[in-house]
Parts: sequence; C-alpha cells; structure tokens
Amino acid sequence: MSIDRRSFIAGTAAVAAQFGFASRVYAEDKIVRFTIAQDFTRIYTFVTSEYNQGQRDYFALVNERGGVGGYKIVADVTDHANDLPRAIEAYERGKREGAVLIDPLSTPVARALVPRALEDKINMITAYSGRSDAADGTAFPYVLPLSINYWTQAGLIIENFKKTEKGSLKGKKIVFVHIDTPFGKEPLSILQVLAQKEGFELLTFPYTPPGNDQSAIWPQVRRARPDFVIFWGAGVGQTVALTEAIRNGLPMDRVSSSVWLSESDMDVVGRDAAKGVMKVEPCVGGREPKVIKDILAEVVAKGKGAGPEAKVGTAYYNYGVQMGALMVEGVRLAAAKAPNGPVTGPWLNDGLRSITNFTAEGLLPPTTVTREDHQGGGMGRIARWDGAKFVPVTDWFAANQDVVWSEIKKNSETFKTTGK
Amino acid sequence: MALLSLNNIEVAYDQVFLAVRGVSIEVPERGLVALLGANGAGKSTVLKSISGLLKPERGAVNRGEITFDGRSILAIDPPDRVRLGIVHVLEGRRVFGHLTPRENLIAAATMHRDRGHVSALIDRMFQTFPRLAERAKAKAGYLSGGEQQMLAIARALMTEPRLLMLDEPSLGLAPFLVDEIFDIIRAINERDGVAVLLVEQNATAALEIAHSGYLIENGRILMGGTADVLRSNPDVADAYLGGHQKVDYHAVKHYRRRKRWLA
Amino acid sequence: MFYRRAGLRHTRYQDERQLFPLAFDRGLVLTVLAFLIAAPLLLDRLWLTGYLLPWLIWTSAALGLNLLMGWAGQIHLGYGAVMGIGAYAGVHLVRFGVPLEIAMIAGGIMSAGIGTVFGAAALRMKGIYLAMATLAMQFIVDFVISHNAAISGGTLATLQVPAVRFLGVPLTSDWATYYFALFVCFVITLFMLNVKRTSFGRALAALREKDYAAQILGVSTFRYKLMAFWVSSFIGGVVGTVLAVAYLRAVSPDQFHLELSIQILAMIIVGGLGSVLGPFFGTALILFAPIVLNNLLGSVAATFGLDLPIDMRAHLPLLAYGLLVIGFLLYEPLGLAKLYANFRNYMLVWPFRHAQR
Repeated sequence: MSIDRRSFIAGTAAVAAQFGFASRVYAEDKIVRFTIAQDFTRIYTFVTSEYNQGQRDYFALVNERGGVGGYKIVADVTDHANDLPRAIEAYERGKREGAVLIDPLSTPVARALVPRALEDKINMITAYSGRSDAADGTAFPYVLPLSINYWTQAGLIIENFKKTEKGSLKGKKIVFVHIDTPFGKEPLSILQVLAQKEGFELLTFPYTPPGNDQSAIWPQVRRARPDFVIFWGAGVGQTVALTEAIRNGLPMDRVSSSVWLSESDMDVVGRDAAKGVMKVEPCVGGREPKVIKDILAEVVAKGKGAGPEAKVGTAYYNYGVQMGALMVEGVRLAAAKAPNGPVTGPWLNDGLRSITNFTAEGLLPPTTVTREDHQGGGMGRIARWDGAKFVPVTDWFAANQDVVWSEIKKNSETFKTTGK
Repeated sequence: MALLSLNNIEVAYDQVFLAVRGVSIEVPERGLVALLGANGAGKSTVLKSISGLLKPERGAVNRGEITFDGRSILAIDPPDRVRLGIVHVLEGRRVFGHLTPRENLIAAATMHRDRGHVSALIDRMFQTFPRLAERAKAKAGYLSGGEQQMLAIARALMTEPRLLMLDEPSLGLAPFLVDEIFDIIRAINERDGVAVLLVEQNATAALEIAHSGYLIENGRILMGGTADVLRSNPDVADAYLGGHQKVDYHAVKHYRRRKRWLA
Repeated sequence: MFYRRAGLRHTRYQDERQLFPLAFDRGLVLTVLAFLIAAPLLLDRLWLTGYLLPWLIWTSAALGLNLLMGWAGQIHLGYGAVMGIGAYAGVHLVRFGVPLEIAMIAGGIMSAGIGTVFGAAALRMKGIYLAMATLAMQFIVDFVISHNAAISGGTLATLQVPAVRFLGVPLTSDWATYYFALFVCFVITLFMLNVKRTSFGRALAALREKDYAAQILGVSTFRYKLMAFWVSSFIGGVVGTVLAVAYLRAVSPDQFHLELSIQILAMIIVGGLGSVLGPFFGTALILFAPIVLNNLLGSVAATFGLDLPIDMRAHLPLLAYGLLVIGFLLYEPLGLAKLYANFRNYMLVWPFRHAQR
C-alpha cells in the first residue's frame, strides 16, 4: 500500500483538529450564540452573501458598542449549501455549542428544521423563506419569520395597484408571471381570493425553473393587454423576467415584484431600461438610515466590515441588517426581563416575542411581534426604481391582512392537527 | 546482440497476484522465436509486458528489465513502443468490425505521414494476403475467422515493425488455414527480415517454422533452445506435441508421463 | 497476518459457505455492528443525528441503486425520483393512519411499479440511452409531484410526517429513529450480501457482463432486467419512506430532485460499483467530506485568526472536496471499496509480497 504513515497521521490530525477547536470563546463576556448557517454556494447565493454581510456588520456594531444588555453576540457563520444533511449537521452542532437561534435563510432547510426547532425550543428565523403560515405564533412558537411573508407581499402589491386605479380594480386585468415551483405558486391562493373580492381578472403564466428562458410566455403576456403585471421568482428568473418585460414593451410603471429585486438585478437588466419597475420594500434601502451610517462609521471605517464596502446599503444588505437588528432587539428585551439568563431558547423566545413598535432607528416599519403574530404586523411599502435607486412611492402600510390571516390560519390549523 | 531481451522479469496483477516470475527471453534480429506453454502459463502476460498492455488489466512489471535494440522500454507508453518497432497482434484478432479491411489497414498507419507510402504498404498487404483483397469492401466484422486473423496480422505489419508478436494466431482455425497463416509468417520473417515472437498452443505447427523456442509453465521459463532440441525432447513431445512419436502407452510406466521438470 | 488464512480447514459445507469465511472478517463486522448498536450510548446527539443517521439512510439508498448499476449493469439517473415516489406514497399512507410497517412496504411497491415501467426502457436501450430514459423519469416524476397539490400537500407543498410507531416503538426520540434506520440498513445490507449467492444475483451478473451471452445460457433478459428494476426500485421506495419518516420529517418536492439522484450515483461510483462495502465508504465521503472540510477550514481560520471573505470561506471546502473525489478516483478508479480490497489483499499475504493466483 502506498498510503504511508506520514500521510495517515496528517489526515488523522486534520480530522481531529476540527473537533478540537470550538470557535473563538469569549470567556470574560456573557454571550448569546447564534448559528448563522446559510447557503453561500448553491441556490440562494445571490442573496446570502449580501444578507449575511449586513447581519454580521450589525452584530459587529452591537459588539463594538459593548454588546446588548450585558451580552455579546457570537455568530457562527457556516455554509449549508441548501443541502439537508449539511444543514441538520450545522443545526445539531450549533445546538451542542449552546446556540439559541438559527437563521438558515432557505425554504427547504427551514421546512425540515421546523419539527426539530419546535422540539428543541431553538428559535429559528425564517425571513423571506420557510413556511408562510409560520406567522401564526400559536402553531409555531419557535419559528419566527419576523418579516412580511409572500401572501402579505402579494396583498401589498394589489393594494398599491388599487391606489393607482383610484380605489377600484373592478374589471381590470392583472397578470401574474411566476416560476413554476411551490415558492412561485404560493401567492396564487391570496391573489385568487383578492381577485374575487376586488373584481379584477387574474391571469397566470408559469415559467419552468430556473427561468433562464422565458421568451415564450412574455409575448402572451403582452397580447393579454394587462393593466398590471406581477412577476414572481428568485435569482436569474427575476432578471430574465424583467428583461423580457422590457423587450415586450410592457409599461414599467405598472410592473411589480416581491422583495426579491435588488440593485444588482438592475445592473444585469440595465439601470435605465428598468426605470419605473416596482418592488415591495420591507425596510429602508440605501445608506440614509441612521443604523447604516453608524455601521459605516463604526465598523466599516475601522476595517472590520464583513465584506466589500460597495455592498453596504444595497437592498439585501439592509434586509440582513433588519433581521440582525430584530434578533438583537430580542436579546435586549430578554436580558431586560431576566438579566442573568440562563441563556436558552425560551429565554430568547420571550424577548423576540415581545418586540413592540421597533423601528431600529428608522430602518424598518414599526414592528410588533406577539405570541400570536410572528410576522411583525405585516407592514411594508412599495418602492420604484428611478434608474439609480429604489424610491418609496408609498408610506409604510399594511393591507389585506384579513385575507392573509385566514390563509395563514387555514394552513397552520392543518399543521397543528397533522404535524408533530 | 539480441533485438529484444527480457531479463528476469516479474509481473504481478493487482500488486499481489503473481503471474510471471524470473522470465528471461531473447529474440535475435531476424529471429523467429516460439513461446510455448499451456493455458494460463503466462505467455500472454509476457507479450503484454513487452507491448505495454498490462496497465489496463492492473498489472505491472515489478522487477527485471526489458530492452529493445539496446534501450530499456519499460517507461515507454504502448503507442511509442509501436513507433520503436514493436507490434503486438492480440489474441482473438480484435479487428475493427465496422470498418472495411482497407480502413482497418489505414487505421494502423497513423505513424506514416506519406500518403503514397501508405497506399504502397496497403498494396503490399493485399499481395501478401490475397484473400483480403477479395473482401476489401466488406465490413471486417463479416470476414471469416481466418480472414480476420490475416487482417489482424496485416494491420500489424502496416506499422512496419522490427518485431512482430503474435498471440495464438491459430486459435479456432481449420488446419489448412493454420498452415496458410504459418507459411505467411515464415515468409514475412524471411522476406522482410521481421523478427517474430510467436506464442502458441499448437506446438507442432510453431516448432515447424520457429528457429528456437522457450517453454513456459506456471509463470517460469523451463526450457529454451533451438527448435530441433525442443522437438526432440521427449517431455515436450509428450506434453505438447501430443502423440507425435506414437508412444505405446501400454508399454510406458505411468509415472513417466509426468513432466519431469515439475518433480 | 491479521486476516490469517493459514490453517483454515472447513470440515462442513456450511462453514465454507458462510458469508465471511475468515475469522478476522467476521470479527471486524461484528465489532462495527456492536459499535453501531451501542452508538446511542457512546455518542452524543450531534454524531447520532448529524452523521450516523444520514449515513445509514443514504447508504441504504446507495445499496439499492448499486443492485441495479453494479450488479445488473443498468444505468439509472432517476433514483431520487424513485425514492420520492416511495416517500410520498409512504407519508400519505401514514397520514391516513396506515401503520408504518405497511406504509413502508406499500411505498416500496409503488416505487417498484412505477420504476419498472420506466425500467422497461432498458429492454431496448443500453448505456447512455438508458441514462436519458431514466433522466426523463426523474423530470416526469418531479413534475407530477409538484403539480399535484393533492400529492405535494397544498399551497406550501409540504407534507408533515405525523408521529408514527415502528413495531410498537414510537419514532420520536433520537435513538428510536436511529435504530429504525439501522434496522432497515442492516436488512438491506444482509440482502445485498446474499444476492450474490443466489441464482438471481448470478443472473444479474451475467446480464451485466454480456446480455446476449446471458440469453444463450437460459437467462431471460426480459425477466431479469425488469426484476432488477423492480427490486432496486422497491428498496429505493422503502428507503424513501425511511428518509421521510426518520430524517426529513417533512417532505417537499425539492428534496427528491436530480441532485439527490446524482448524489447517490456519486456515492456508488466513488464507493465502488458492485460492492456492498462501497456504498458505506462512498456515502461517508460524499455526505461528510464537505461538512468536515468546512468545519476544518472554519476552525483553522478561527485558530490562526485568518480573516477570509465569506464567499472564499464557503467555496474553498467545496474545491477541496472536488479535488478529494477526483484524487481518490485517479488513485483507484474502482472506488474506495477497491482501495480497501487492495489493502486486504496485501495483508492477506503479508509478510510475503505475492500470492500465486
């Protein structure tokens, strides 16, 4: 055999090494440990690195200022590649090391982790991913989206169209172009209910994932002569959809998408060509908010930023800051209630579920998380691309929450009866 | 000095299973050497170690030296060994069944850059093997066994070798065809001066044309010498030339039939 | 030396025909089995549910595919879909209140039925053409599952697995699910070890080597090709149910896409086609090399205070993983099982260098 002794020993040592070192331990501080296992390499890559950068920059800001409520935040960042064995391993490892929160930022992973998180009482953040019915805190006490789900986003878009049409959508035609996956079909139920309620005609056009080629359906969309177009996808599907919409001459100021549209997408499509397109904004974009300015001054300027400075203030970066801020606010409230811990899942859960009217100094809409409502109130706003940045066209508002909540309840009830 | 010489080579398959051990063979320039032995004795392994085909079968020459024309060839790739002038006609012919005989011959001419030379070579092959010329347009897969064997030999000769190695050319052929093919081998050897290393089960036929021969058994060379010496050896006669001398078995004591060298 | 064969004298046919004729092999297998049985007592939950559980389940699946590809020589690129069919059938039945034992078998039969229909393509196609046919199966099954709300489970396309019992034991604790997976893997491994010794196994081997040569020996290619697909798909379906019940606990269509098929294919190729041991090694490498390398890089970076950009930090382990897989295959194209076999052959004759075949 030509596996010699030296390479054998080196291999053994290497394997042993991974179990020997835990990540950096702050012996002198009281800490709260988060497992930030996300997909950096497979499907969500286009979001993850920016989202994650924002999150970590915010944690760095908090730690620079001496922590929150006497606690410092330790975030273990790792890649789960949207692969379940890897994600579950990361979850179990985090749990063993005392993590009280996990942010997987992946729908399949979140789905598989739901029963485990509920059982182990570990807070799972499912921002813009996971099950939409997790907004129901009574069914999912430890699953916290803390952000507007896709049903709410669809409700906001329709409400904005209604405003444009001066209060009535009766007889209007709205086209919904979506990726043909469960994720893309999710808003359909809400849109159908709203179509009945508001009296508009809903036409749906699915495209096959991942959506590199949508040239067949957009001419059909044009021929349908819609009053409004909603396109729904992720990653490459979004930019291709927008490009095709422009090529088919659809009026950009009547085209809207979900939260998944960013400056980088606009660079792909062409900044000027896409002028007028709308998206849902769950938090303020750009570098104007005070938190982002603070991060620039106190973290990035000191060379402690988690990534390239150019990305600071982009849409997904700010989503990351938004979620980071909400998590830290949860820690602050938990520490206020029980300053000496012990730091456990329920301890943090208590804090997260008593967030009230939190705006992170003007970054987010007033967000209130309760034991029933994990969505945080369902407020968002519509922003329009002006060729250089997204400019808000509405104020923070919530809309159609009755319809959304009946859908949430319908699904969460099924979960309660059939789930574990 | 010999054209090809194997000095004490040892071949093991899969690192562990020993196939050939301590084999030393010499093929002189213009020589015609026969390598005789029973099934599984290691004849083919020896040929493969010379042509370099052991690797796909997970074998390797662990010890010893193979020199061709004075230089060691162990480190050389099979295609480059062909360019040196060693060609191996595989057991079971392996002609390209979907090509015609002519295309088969052209396929073996990659080393010649000169087209005129190639067509001259082909013409010469068709002269040597008139049967192939008759079937030049048929697919090689439809040729009879003897014709395929001829094609395999012709194809090997297209490389203009200095050493032709033949692995059981008489396999599965009618006696008159065996004679025909062996006549051709002798002709090639005498006319073109190509050295031949002939591996055979059919010892009678082989020793008729060979100048000298080796006997291989259980991966070892047991005996070597001129064809006459081998032919007249009673053990060889008993074991390989099968009743050539019309022995009256009732008269011999039974133990005599054992091969003496194995005792 | 260790695998001593010298002095081994079998006096009864049973002795010679046992699965592991060498005492050392028997001891090794029993030790590993004893360790696996004692694992819940020895290891904490991270190792149990993070490593051993997926290892057992994926290995079971890889063994099933290996029956088809390694034994019968029929290529299959849609094994993920086969498992998906089993998982969905099994979970739906369990939700209807059917006991898990029956749901597993039913899931297996469902997979076997549909798998065999697509496998019928193998009667006319070989090699790369069969690969395309089975790839088509993957996409058709994906499409049907995700476009049928009744199958995939409504708007959210998630089917929660209810609390179930296996042979009277509720599968709620870690150790119960672990033993469940271990039991299934044990049964499948035992089956695979014995397949080689049956006429079925020999017929499959004949098919793989030369299907028309098998035919003139009286092996019906029609029958045995379909049987190979049937048995392999049955195992896939059962393992699909096990995967859903013991590991995923909520099934959604994206879990059974082409990635899963390719992953399992990679496991048996890296592990060793046609080997029982191979899938165990291959699964360990394919499943855990990325995790181990990732953690390794993480701890190395943390220890030495390296400040790698996160994209680099995430992609470097994948690069190393790719190199590792290619490296292993270059070193030993027949897979990790062959690597072990080389070592074993060497030890069998050690301290001598060679054995005469």
